[in-house]
Amino acid sequence: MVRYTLLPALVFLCWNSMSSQTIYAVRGIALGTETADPAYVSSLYSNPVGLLTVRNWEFMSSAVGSFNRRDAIGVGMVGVAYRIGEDQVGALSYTPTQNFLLRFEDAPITPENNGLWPLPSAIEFRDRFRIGFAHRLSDEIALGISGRWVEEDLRTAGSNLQQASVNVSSFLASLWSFNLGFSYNVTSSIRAGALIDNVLALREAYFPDHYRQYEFRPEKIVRIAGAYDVSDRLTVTAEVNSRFASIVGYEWNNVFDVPDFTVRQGFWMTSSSNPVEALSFGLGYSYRALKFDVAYVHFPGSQTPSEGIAPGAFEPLLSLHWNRYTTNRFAFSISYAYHTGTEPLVRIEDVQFFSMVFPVNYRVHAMRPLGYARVQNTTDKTVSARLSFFVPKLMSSPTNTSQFYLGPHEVRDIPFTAEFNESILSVHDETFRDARIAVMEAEVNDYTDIEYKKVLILGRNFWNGDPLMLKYFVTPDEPRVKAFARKALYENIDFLESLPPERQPLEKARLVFNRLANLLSYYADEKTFTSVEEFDRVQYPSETLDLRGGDCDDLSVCYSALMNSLGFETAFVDVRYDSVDENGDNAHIYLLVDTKLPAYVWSSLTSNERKLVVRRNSTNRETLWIPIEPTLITKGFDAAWEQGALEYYHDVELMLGQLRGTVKIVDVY
Amino acid sequence: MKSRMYLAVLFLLILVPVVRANMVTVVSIKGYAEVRRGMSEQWITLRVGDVLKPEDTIRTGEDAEVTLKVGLSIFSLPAFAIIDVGDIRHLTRNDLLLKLAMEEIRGLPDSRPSTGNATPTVMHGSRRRSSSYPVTYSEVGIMRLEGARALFRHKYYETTILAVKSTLHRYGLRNPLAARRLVAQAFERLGLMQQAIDEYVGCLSLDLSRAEKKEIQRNIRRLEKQL
Repeated sequence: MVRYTLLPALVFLCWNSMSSQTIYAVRGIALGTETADPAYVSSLYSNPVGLLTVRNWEFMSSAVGSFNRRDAIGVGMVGVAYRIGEDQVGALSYTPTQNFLLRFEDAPITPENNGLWPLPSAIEFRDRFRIGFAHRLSDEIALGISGRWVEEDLRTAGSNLQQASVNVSSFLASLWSFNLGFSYNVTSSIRAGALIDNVLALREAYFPDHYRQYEFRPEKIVRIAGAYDVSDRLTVTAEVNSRFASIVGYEWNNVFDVPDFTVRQGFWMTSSSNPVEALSFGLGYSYRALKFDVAYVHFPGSQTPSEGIAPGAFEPLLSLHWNRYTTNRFAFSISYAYHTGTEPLVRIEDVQFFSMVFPVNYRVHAMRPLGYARVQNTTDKTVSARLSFFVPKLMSSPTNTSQFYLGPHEVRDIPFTAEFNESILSVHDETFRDARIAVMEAEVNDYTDIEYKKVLILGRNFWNGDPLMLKYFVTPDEPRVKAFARKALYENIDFLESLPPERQPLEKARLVFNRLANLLSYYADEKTFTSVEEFDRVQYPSETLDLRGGDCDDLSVCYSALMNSLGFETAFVDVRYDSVDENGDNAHIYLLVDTKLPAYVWSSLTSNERKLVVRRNSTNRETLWIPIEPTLITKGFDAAWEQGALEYYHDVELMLGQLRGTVKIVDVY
Repeated sequence: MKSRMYLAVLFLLILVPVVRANMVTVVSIKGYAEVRRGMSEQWITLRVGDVLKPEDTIRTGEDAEVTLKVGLSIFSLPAFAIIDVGDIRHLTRNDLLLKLAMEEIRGLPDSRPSTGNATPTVMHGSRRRSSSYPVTYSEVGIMRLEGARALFRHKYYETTILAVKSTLHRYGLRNPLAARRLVAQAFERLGLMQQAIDEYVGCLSLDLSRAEKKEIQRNIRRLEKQL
């Protein structure tokens, strides 16, 4: 065949249009694989089962571009999905400008009258339309199918020598190909997915025989993948496919404690000499019904020729999205979930709190429910959902319940917990904060209903009088507490070392107490009246040291912390009286200090055995404990010990306080 | 007018004893006796007329005896005995059983390690009659047991049980059989037969002579018949 090289590139008008590949599942690209964890309209381009995440209507548009100098950014795809029924979702998408163009280098312009078929100068593949459908078979299993129509446009350049003109001929072919997807919820945090790309390909039109080798031949690829929710924030995914490639990725939500901000990353690996085929990175952000996603994929071994390929070097394309001509590119998408005003599938009817929040023991609410939300399933199918509780500035991220199931039209009270962070300790006075309680339907993975309710957060020093709560004020790890206690011992180290071992615990307790006695005084503090009821205020140990005094609970907490910091266990003795004293109190606190000595050595410490209490410590050993009345702080250790022992003997032994319920002994470990 | 005076005197005669019902006073002392006030570590001489509080402890020397007035009753503490004044009282059966249950939950053993491990805080010495006589650690246990026997004789069975158990716990008597037998008898007097049987059964694990074992078994059988 005679080849003539004439004018180059005139026919390549389309070269300035979109020549980037079709990468529209922006989230999937950033994550690496969406086979096991697909979502949104863009799952038309990955596992169509992901369409089931659409609640009602969802609209999506995406754009792609690359850093290739010939490419520009353009609209990639516009799509819409609609929930047809309780378990079915359908979707359509249109890609107006996303074409894959292959240009052949130095394609000769063949004279038209030489009877030869000219070599192709370019082939454009247009992945125009997609349609998809997903159906939930059960709570665990779902199926999805998507189809696409691909148009192929092969162009040649022929010359008319007589007219000295160049004519471009175009040959069209087209086909339909279908993907079949499957998902299985193994557990509430593990999902499995499978996808067969191009399970069926039906050719509509063909190129002329001489150009058949340039037709698109979609490759059948089988993908098996899994997704695992490591935590509420982190999901990892992995896929292996019949191309002997593996893909791993992760999705990290609420990054840097920014709600609804997501980071994604993916790694494509093959068994070739270049094991890392591609790397991707992406970000996502959602605001109410809007979602924004951006992704960038980098191919270290991309081979796209800048000037075109030789026709003889052309190999039939098996995939439009992923082939050796795919270049580095970025993509972003925006989607909008629209609800037509129908009732949410799961609705919050009421929210109640069990109690107000005391900052001192904020951690208990991570385990003990803070309140409950009454939720209702408005459908006639069983739904699964989760509750989320969040107080801005006092929590790092929402605390979610585990998944629960609601039967058709069922109403249930769902308790929720709250993981506050340390910033709650900066609340000094009672304050009402807005709490957001949201119910999230598991399938949709989006909030279906949100309630805002005020929660009462009390001040950091507030105490409800319960001795079980008092121990949370004991902070033996505070540097000031440690330093104070250690200094009391270091200043008398020689004396301590001269003592027999059984005397040392008692003398350490004495030294610390007497050092405290030089600093502190006892005074009763005022009750605090909140908008709800009356509370006491308790000082943290460092505050008592700063203020140089406190009442019985302040001093008990302070001395307890000091002894705890030295490794001694303590216990609060809480006594309730029938009448009030001159300060208006009907309760009193003092404490016990564990010497860690066995009971039978009591006579080493005192000749009056009733000055010591025998009880079990945290190691389940019977040991000797010293009762201390801290309000006698100015009178010294011996007076405090004697008075404490007297009170204990009276309250517990004579009055049988523990049996009668007027005495509670609470260990501070 | 006169009738009103008689009524007032009658009222006072009734009221005063009622008011003084819970007070303990020392009526008479034979020989030498001491008192330890509250949580003090000092023993001081006990005198007739002293008013004792529940947190006080008294002890008698050899050949001594102290007579106390406890409300309207009389209580005698024999020679060589120690007693906590607070133990001279009755408990309800419920309170006793709850207290025992609490002790059981605490897992307090009935016997103590040998007193050879303890460090006595008083000097060894013979019994003396003079002031501040020292007693050995083991003698304290024996004296407390004697005090518990006094409680038993005066029908304070509940506190007898608690006092003996406390003594066994703290002092580790060489021969705890007598103490445990006393506890069993106190249970029996209170009508708590099963607890009495359990106490006698516990005695069988001690190092007993044949005669002692037979006596214990006889008591067990006798009590089982009463159940």
